[in-house]
Amino acid sequence: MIACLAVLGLMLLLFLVGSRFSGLLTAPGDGALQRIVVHWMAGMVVFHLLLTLLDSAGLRWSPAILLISLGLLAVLAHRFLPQASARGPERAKLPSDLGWGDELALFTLAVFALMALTLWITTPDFVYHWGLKGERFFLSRHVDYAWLARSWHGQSIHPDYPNLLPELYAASSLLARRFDPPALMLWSALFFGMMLAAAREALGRAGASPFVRQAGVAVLALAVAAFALRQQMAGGADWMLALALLAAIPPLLRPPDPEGDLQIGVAAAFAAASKVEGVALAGFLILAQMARLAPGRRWLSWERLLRLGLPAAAVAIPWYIQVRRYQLFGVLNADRFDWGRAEVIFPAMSKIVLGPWHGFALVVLLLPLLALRRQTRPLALAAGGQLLFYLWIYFTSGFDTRFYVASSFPRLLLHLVPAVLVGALMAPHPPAPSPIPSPQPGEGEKDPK
Amino acid sequence: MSLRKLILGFVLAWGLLAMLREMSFALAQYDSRASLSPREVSRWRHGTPPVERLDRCLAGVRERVPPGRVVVFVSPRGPHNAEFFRWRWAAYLLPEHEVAPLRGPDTGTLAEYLVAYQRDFHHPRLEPMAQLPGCRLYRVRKP
Repeated sequence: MIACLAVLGLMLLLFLVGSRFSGLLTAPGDGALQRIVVHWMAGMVVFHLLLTLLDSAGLRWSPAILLISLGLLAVLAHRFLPQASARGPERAKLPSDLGWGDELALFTLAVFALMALTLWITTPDFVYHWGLKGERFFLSRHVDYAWLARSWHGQSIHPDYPNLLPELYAASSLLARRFDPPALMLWSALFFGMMLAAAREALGRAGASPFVRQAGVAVLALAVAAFALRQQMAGGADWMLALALLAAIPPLLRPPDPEGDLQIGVAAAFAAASKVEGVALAGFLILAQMARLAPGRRWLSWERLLRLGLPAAAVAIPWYIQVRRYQLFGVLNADRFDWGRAEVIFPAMSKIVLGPWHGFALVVLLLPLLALRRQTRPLALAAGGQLLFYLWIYFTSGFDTRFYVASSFPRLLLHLVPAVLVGALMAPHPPAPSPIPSPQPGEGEKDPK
Repeated sequence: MSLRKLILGFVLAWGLLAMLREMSFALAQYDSRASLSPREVSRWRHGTPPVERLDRCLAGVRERVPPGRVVVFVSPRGPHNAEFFRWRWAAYLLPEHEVAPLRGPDTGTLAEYLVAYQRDFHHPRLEPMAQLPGCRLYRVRKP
């Protein structure tokens, strides 16, 4: 019970820290759900950067250090950064009109959370590396790269992966004063809940009818929960990549604006801090947003590059330095590109699409259609790029290809299926009216043409 | 009713069926977890007898071996990389120790203790320490 309270307390604290950046992150027209999702992701990115800083300074984590430094950051951000209320964006209220789809989705989320608390649907990877790393970092009170680099580990613990999830586990355990796996499963429930919130916001912003909005959120919840129960997904980091892509949809739907650029930047940083595949996703998200022309603004400016790229760079550069320093990179993908592997890859993939995903993963075949429509093209670029990246990994891997696809592709599809499903549901609708982008200093007089 | 609503309604019903089926399957398995013994070690789950057997052995190791020591874990080879996955579970259940596999690159030089789980293991450098439930703990003499 105390461990669950510690996890919930840390979640709330990270949300409060992230919400101190609301002035930079909140665009006019952002709904309450989008704000909550983005603030939470921002809080987790700030938390990850803070732990990286503490490790660099040689300071061991403790509840006092974590609480004081997070509190200090929140105060500094509140004092020196513009707050949303001061800059104009209206206050947003949480949806009070829960429809049948919302209720079904919340019920499904509750079923998943309860099952996750029993550890029965915990991913084996929690045992092999996510949970083990979390407990080691909790015991050693820092990201223990020397332990990650032990020669006998090889790739069995994926020592080269970014460490946000184990850090969340370690910090939760520090606050609870013990490592309690059932309580840590609440993180997966949080990510799932945030995915549903982001999907509801995206469908609403795309102007979907109430029926499509309700049915869309319910279908997403049911499809993901069915897959997660069958494939044992609780406790892993794949939720975080799915969340990053879903949270990026609203800013990708509207014309580029500074707040949207930063929202994409935060989603990219969150993905990059979560898994090694997230570094690629971060790149595709940034590219998808950068490729769009901002009305009334220069296509590329230093400010835009910083908003889009700085959060992900702040996450990825220290990670890359440590991984190189301790020589943690794996050799799974060291072979040459071989078209001959297609004979194994595609049949193995088709089994997965129809098997653990109950056919819902077929939605990724709609990616080319999403690319045809202007509204969903940036999403198709990011999701399609990521899918091609996975294919490239399979075509160049020296590993047993059939086993590699069978053991990883179901989980990798979780990164893409939710966002593509939302994109497919919004595709036949006319684009939502765009909010007026907030002007930049000195840009108000420019002619958008 | 439009065709679009009809299709979405069908997809929703399919999703509901899929979720109910998986929930029912997961609950049925969970209820019978005490009698489940997956043959493949990679399918072990928390709360199942094989994991609890291993934990009973490692509880004795936790009592006798100081934290931070290098413990080599050996177990029977088997199909589907059974020895490898048992070693990963042992590492998870002994997080305060450095749990190494038998065939690790530095195992021979760094090993301080050895746990032989459900198998016999003989080596001139091994000094028996304790017979534990399902396993035997040895101290490893330096070469």
